[in-house]
Amino acid sequence: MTTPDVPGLWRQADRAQAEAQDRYPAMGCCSGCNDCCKHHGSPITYASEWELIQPWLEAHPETLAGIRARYHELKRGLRARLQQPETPSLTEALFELPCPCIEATAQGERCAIYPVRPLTCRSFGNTLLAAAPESGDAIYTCNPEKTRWERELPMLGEIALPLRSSLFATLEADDSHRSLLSYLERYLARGPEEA
Amino acid sequence: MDLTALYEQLPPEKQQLLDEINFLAGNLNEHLILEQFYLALAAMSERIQKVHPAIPCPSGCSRCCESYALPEVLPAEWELIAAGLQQLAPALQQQIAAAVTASAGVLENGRLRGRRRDYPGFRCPLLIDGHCAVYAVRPFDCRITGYGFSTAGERPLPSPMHRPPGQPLPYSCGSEQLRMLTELESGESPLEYMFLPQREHLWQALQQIEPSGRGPELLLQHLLDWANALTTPAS
Repeated sequence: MTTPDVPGLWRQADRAQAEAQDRYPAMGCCSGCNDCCKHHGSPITYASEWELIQPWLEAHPETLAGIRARYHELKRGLRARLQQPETPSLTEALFELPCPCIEATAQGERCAIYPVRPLTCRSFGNTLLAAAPESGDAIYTCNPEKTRWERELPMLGEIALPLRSSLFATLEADDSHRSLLSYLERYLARGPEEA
Repeated sequence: MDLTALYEQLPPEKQQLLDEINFLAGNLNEHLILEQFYLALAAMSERIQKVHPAIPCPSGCSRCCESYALPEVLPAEWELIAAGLQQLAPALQQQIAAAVTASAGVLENGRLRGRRRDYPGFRCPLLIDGHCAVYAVRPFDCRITGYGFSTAGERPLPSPMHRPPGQPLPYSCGSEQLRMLTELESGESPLEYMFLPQREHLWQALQQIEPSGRGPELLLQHLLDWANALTTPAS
């Protein structure tokens, strides 16, 4: 079994995003929007990706400390939510989950692990779920973007974006995966609770 | 049985509930962490309740806490329960510890003597005045009771209602098992019953969620260790 070329796949996804943004300037992602980091659950991360993310975190202890603190804050928030008697909505239970990697900077909110963020994060917003999309639902993106694409479809005729499945093919064939939050949970369970 | 036809005959509100149950079931997997899993399960059970309004659980019934009440829990589940116990008033903690110690005779070397199905009258020591002392952080086994089917046979039918061994039974108190099976056998709500999850399927996902990689242990054993620590003066 060959190890997937994760850095190669990451670069490929980044190139695809840059090309997509170029071809379709109306795409909202480049504005620094991070809704998908907060409202779409935790990104699926492959084991071979985590093998690169973990040492990177260890090489950036300040960043790691920030992520650890935000992770524990997220856990506290979820446990407080469990104490409330009202049943959560579907989105609240499954998707309202701010990624602990999102940190506040002078330039606004940014991904603290941007150089090693998972392929899921890189391909969201700029890949297709079906070859010839006839509706916004066939695009791997957030709901506001799906609505925007659907409005433009009649004028565009076709949407020249790569298929998500071809980008993930080698990872899905060979590799195990978890959500990034699950990997962080296992990794951070070894450390102190407070930064 | 034409399930599509049955679905199409349902009013739109009910169709939406079934769609949402289906969606939640698909997302109750190992990509969640424990707290999310509990929240999603609560959302699913609420919808199952709306589809099956005759389920008596929300009325405050505690029958399932008073029979076969010997769940196994994962380490992450016990962590939440232990934190919940610590929040309780000391007098209440003592009351629970006494109830735990009194019922610990069913244990031998950290395990249950015999099988769970041998204890139809076992009452959970966390049931205080008809309420669960740690309800907000109760484990999966308790959350799924009343709202799923199970092949484990841990909550056997109280009377010889003929069921082939290994067939899934409603995972609930005896009277609910009878009520649901009677409805099923009379051909009532076949589609709605198909949307009740399989307990073992969800339990499998939870074991993958468990960060420590360790397996489940009897809640009563955890409680006994906790009770002993509570009553032992710190040295």
